[in-house]
Amino acid sequence: MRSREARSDALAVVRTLAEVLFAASASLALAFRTSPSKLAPAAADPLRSTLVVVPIVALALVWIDRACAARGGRRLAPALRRAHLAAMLGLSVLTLGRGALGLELSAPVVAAGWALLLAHRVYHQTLTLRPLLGRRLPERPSTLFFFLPLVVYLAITPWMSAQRPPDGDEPYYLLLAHSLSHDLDADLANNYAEEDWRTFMDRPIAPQPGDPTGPDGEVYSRHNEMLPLLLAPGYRLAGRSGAVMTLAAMAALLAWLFLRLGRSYFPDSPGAVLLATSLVAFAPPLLLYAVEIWTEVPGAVLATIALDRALVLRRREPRRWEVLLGIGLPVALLPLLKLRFVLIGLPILVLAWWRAPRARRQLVALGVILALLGLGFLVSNQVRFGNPLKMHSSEELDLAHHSLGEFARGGVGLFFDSAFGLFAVAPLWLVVLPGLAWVATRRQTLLADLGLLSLPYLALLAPRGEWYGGWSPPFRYGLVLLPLLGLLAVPAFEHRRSRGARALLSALALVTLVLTLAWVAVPGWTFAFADGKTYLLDHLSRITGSDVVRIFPSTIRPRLATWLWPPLLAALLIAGWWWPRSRRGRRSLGPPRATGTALLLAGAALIPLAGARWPSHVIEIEDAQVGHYGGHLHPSRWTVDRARYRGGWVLRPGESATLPVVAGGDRVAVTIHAQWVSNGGEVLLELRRGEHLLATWRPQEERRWLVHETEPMPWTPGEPLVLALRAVEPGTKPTAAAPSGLVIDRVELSWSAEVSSERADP
Amino acid sequence: MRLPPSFAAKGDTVVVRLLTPLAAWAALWSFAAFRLDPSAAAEGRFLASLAGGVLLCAALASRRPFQGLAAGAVLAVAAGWMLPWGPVRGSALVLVLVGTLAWVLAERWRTEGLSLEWRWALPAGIGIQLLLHAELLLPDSFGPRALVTLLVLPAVGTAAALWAARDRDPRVVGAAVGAGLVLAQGWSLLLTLGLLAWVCGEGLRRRNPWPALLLGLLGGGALVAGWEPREAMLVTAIAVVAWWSAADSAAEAARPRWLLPAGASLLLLLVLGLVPALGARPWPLAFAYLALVPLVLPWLLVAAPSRAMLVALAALAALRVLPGDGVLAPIVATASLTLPAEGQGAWLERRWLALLVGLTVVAGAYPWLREPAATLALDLLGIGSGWISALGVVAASALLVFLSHRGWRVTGAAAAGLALLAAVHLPSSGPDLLPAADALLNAKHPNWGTDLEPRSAAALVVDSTLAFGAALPEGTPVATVRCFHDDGSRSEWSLEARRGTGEWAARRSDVRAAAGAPPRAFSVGVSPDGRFLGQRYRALFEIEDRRPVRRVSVLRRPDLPPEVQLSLLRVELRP
Repeated sequence: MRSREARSDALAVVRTLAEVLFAASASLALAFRTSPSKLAPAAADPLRSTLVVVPIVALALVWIDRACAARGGRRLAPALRRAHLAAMLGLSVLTLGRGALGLELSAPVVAAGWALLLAHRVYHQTLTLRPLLGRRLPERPSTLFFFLPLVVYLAITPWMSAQRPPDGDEPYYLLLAHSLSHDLDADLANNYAEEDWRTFMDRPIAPQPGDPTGPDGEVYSRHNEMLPLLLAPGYRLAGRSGAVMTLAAMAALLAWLFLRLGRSYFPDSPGAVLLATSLVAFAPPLLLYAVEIWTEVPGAVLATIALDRALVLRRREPRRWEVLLGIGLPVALLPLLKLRFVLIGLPILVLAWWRAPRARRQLVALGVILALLGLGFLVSNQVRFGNPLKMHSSEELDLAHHSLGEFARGGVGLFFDSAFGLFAVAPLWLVVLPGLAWVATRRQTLLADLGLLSLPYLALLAPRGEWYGGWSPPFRYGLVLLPLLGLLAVPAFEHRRSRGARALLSALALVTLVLTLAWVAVPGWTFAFADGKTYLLDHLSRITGSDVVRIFPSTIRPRLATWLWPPLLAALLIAGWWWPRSRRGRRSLGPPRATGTALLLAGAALIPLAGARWPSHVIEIEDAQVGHYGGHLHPSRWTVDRARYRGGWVLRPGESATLPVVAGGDRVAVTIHAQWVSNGGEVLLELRRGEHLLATWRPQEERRWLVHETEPMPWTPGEPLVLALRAVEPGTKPTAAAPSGLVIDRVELSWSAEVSSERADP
Repeated sequence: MRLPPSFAAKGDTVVVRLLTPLAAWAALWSFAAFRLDPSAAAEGRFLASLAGGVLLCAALASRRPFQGLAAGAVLAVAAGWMLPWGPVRGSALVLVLVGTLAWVLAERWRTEGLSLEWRWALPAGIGIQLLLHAELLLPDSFGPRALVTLLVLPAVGTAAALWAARDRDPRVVGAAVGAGLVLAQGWSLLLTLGLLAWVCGEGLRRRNPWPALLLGLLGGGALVAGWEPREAMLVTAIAVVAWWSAADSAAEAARPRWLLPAGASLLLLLVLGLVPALGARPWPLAFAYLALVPLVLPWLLVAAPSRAMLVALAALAALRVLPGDGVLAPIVATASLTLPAEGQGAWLERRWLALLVGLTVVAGAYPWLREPAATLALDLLGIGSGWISALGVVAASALLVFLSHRGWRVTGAAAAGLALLAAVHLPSSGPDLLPAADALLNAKHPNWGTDLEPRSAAALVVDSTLAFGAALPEGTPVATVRCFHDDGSRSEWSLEARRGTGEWAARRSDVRAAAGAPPRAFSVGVSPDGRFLGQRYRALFEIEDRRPVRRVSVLRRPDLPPEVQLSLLRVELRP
């Protein structure tokens, strides 16, 4: 018996070694095969890094599958495993042979294919992990719930990192990590001088505005050193890849922690909590931030650790050092990551004090310690930056300083904005709406906890001008609240059997899948300019020549859709989720899903139709469907905090813009919002219907926004509106170096019917 | 209209099943209808029709409206929205459709086993036909003959296959039909008549005249319509004779002893005698002919030898007499139908045919390439086409067939290893030397050239098309392609009509009527007016000794008719 066991163990070791050897050989062979050729040394295959990790990722997934079965879960069906192997081989051949097929520009599509295969595997593997949770969520879930997300993040990292060089704040975090790991200090002066940024990017970077300096020429970063300190070991080992892998591990840890957190509120709903965990782990936004360097992921990890400990203390006496290390340490580290995270940490402390009476004494002591630490932190900021709040002002803390409209803009935008909102980047998150309705009516404890934890942070965040997070993927500032939103999804998943819920889930899941594939294949599409548009909608507008962007909400550029979508979606989701349950007997999983999918596709069919048929009322001159013949964007695309400015297009004499118009009547009155920039010459704006001149306008006041309205003019459907700028005295040389110009923000169209020349006598 | 309880879950109706594909078609059509670019709009409409048709078939073939179909529909629409028009979008969308249909059938197989039922086999057959003959949806090709090809042939062929599956192993029938579909690139008239002839033969032995009547109707209709009449009649006649005159079991038991060795010797002589002749054939046909060997030999040893010999003789006669690549399709398909369900060699034959299907059927559904699917498969592997390549693939496939007998784990590891070995040898592509726009060479501007940093290269690839060049005879030199090397020497090749390049509108009905069958293309694309598939050609010129190249030029021949234009689409130096 023993010898049989020993032989079995030995065989397992041999098998493992053989698998590792095979995977390593395969990776090496693929790396060799895809190395840059002598013909095009700079043009390495963009899918090279992805191909190299495929054997390793495949092996990791096989091991997870085996470990799941060994620990009491299920094994993936043999037919499914074979199908995945065949698909993997087919995709490999396609990846390597796509050049021979003449399929230029196909790398993102092939990358999406790999992502789809990975998504399919992960979906089925997650189902096999369900038995590991039993009937009641365990206090310590299996580590497989950490390793599966980690493998997913590591699988997508090579492609996404190659497609998206460090951007936004990332280069500065990496440079700081470089300095900490190599120079063991935070002084970046030598790192800028030696161009150490070349180790992870090609684009040069310079000190940012607001970076503090030292008396001896030191240059420090305005960003806190906490995140770079966490990244330094990984960076030292493997450069940028090591830093990204560190972040990926943190994101995977967040997924595991969320599963653990679910026990505090839904201990008897392991299936629903697992579905919510899958949403948190495998859908955007966490999927996007897991492979980029931002403070939000470690912030969410720390917040979840502290919250989990605080909730555990409801049920039992605290252990030694548990309050200090489990709650105090994460809460103390949060503002060191980012100052605004203090509004997450403090409510956790309050919640712990409120919900865990047995630990109140220790919590009070902890509060005193943290208050002293906080005071020291503020003093340190005062010394280094001359401002205890670093770059922020006390006005930002004064909620009365902001209007209700600003709160609404940021609050609604965080979730519904088509470029930056949570529901736009991953529509499946809409399940939190019915979840919130359910919690509001039945679980007052959870509702109170969520309100306490999130409202202070949201109240600070929403009215900020840069509520959207700046140059980053969507929902950046809200990411730290993701675990709380995940908790709201649990009751929705628990009640997913109704017909309406199944139809809605099917539609939302499918569109989320498609969008996730798009974000993974082209990560640049997740970085939107704050101009009320998105890449996907702009693309559709450009190819159809119609304004489809106006159909979707945006709080950067508010329009009718901005205020229609939220209540309609909320009503649809909440009402649809509680649709009458299907009757007893044989339940069909088919028809509601088919209906949901069909409605989704029918909606997609209506988008171009609506864009082409819905009468035009407001046309933004910088939109993609507008034809520009000369001129330039104003302000320039890379202007810091561009949303504060009125975006427009500058026309100079001789330049024009052609605006596609969908007629809404026989006559139209045109209102132009523009600013005349005079450099010594007067200008004349011509309004034409195609080639036919309708009206002219000669602005009189310069350097202020003007509104010019025309009388109703006859209009012929199908013609564009042309705005052409002329110099008043052609041939006159401007006195300044730059010619005069007109910055046009937008054009508003008011339609009316043709007035009959004959009227009946009254 | 409700579906039978055994077919679908409660609440399932035809309308519900068709909702998703119809909505997908509407979405794709909407995206195409409002496009500003007419070429993109034409391609979009074509893809919308193809996607709608295939998804409809998948919906009807699926066991229930399940997420695979929904995901396929949504992904197809997403491809239509997000991807730029051209080969990438078409390829991605068709791959999604192929995957969806394959998943539907795999789900059926997994849940219901291998029972063949008309309810799913018929729509699946039509779906496969749509994928393999998508061109017939274009206005230039659409008509009664297209409808017969898309609907009638798969329906009749499927009915014949189902009739055969009544008392045969469905795997055998599936493999037989699959092999025929691969060789004939879909349901051809020949394949359908061949299967129907087998049914007819069996029916006549059982005194059932209906199959013969249907065969006569279809064959006669094809004769009247002028649709491959001679070949069809010849193959059909051979098949009917073969099956009707085949010995029954009693007569088989009474055969003389010398019949077996004499027949085997004759067969061997015929095969050996034909080997040189096979060299003149396109190699996919020779490759398929090799597939007959593992089919026929076991019969000679263990099954009905006289029937096997008749099949082999019929195949040899057809190969000798009839033109065209698909002529073996009905022979192989009908021959496969007599495979024994059990016994020695049965598992070998089934797996061999399954590999044949697996090797080329997906490539055969690739719409933008019109090389024979098997040629494409081997070209992708970089080992070229020809006898050696064919034998190499046979050897690799035989190895996998043998290993599959030892379990799927071993087979999977071996397949992964072989794939890795092949993947390392896949040809690399090089940079495109053309600027962003294509180069047009005409009488006024006949020359294109570019200088580059001297680099070693193994081959030069030229993708091109001709305009107003349909009348040029095959082999007419159209342009001179030159590579200037670092050592002062130069390599020179001739780009010839209907070989390395050809008329882009070769498939247009008026051009086809005047110039005959279109030459073999490298890839196709929807024409700007959306009426036919334009063709694009690839010529590959090997550079001796990989000498470094410092300049590449293409010079249009001055002796061409002045209206003939050569468009260079891609000029690539391969490492």
